[in-house]
Amino acid sequence: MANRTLVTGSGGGTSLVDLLDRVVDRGVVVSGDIIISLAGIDLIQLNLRLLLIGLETANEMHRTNFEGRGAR
Amino acid sequence: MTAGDARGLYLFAIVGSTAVDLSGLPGFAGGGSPRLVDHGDLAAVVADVPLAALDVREEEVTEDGRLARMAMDHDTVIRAVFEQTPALPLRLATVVGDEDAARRLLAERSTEIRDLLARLAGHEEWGVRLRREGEAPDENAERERARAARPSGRDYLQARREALRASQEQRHAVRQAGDEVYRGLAEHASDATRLSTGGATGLLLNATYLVPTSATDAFREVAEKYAADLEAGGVRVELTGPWPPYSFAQVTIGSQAAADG
Repeated sequence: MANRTLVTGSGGGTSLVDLLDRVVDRGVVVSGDIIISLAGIDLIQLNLRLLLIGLETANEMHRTNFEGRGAR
Repeated sequence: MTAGDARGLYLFAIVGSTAVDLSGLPGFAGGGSPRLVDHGDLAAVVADVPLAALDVREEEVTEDGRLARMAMDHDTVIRAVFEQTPALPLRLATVVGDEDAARRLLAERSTEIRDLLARLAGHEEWGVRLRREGEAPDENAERERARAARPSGRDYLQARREALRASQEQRHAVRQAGDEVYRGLAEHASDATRLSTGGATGLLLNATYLVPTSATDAFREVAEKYAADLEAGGVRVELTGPWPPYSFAQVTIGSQAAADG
């Protein structure tokens, strides 16, 4: 049977947006006093903000790439 | 202590086994290799990390930047663990102070962690997206073509009505396709979640499934069948996986005292 689905994931070929979508947004979330603090700033909160920016950026890149391919 | 030399314990995953081979796996720049911190039958896969290694800046968020490398290393370790034993993946950049903190975390919610590990055992995650390729036919161009052909007024109106109805039917069919594929694939999964399409143009469905490994072939066959059926309508089915169960390990663990205080 001809492969009509576009399969990515294991091995190479995973797009950054797929990966970030999973590792930034999902998974076990740790809260409370066990999270390390740096100069009074919650490191995880600090990083999550940056990571969310990253996710948006990756989505943007992916959309640009996709539309670029579609326009060919 | 400055940000430059502060260190923490990075958490990759929680497992229900202390027999996990972590040799050869990457840690983070300037940090240690992944290792286990156990508490009874539960264990956390951790690595010592200089906090500076996790301090990603906005300008480093590129296709091959620091965030991308961090995400790939995170996934590489979790994937290697997941291939050996059921695992709960931690969200990227989760850091606790030390081993005691990691053990407290395992102890506080051990019942819930065990239940979730049991529920996820023998499963893997698959992502499914439905995307409309290209754009809807350009109505102006269509009108131009019709005008160029110089049909009679009645023929022209007739043709326009037909074109309109066809495009309405197509839009309806395409909308339905997302729902149908979501439901059809869910029959071969233990759990399913429909995610936001993030407003992306042409994205008709963004879903993720928890599939028993024994049902993987059936799940993929159904996805292939939908892909074949929808191809003619310009709809593409994208399948990603297998993934560790990132989307189905969504629990919050941590100190209740801190949440109250």
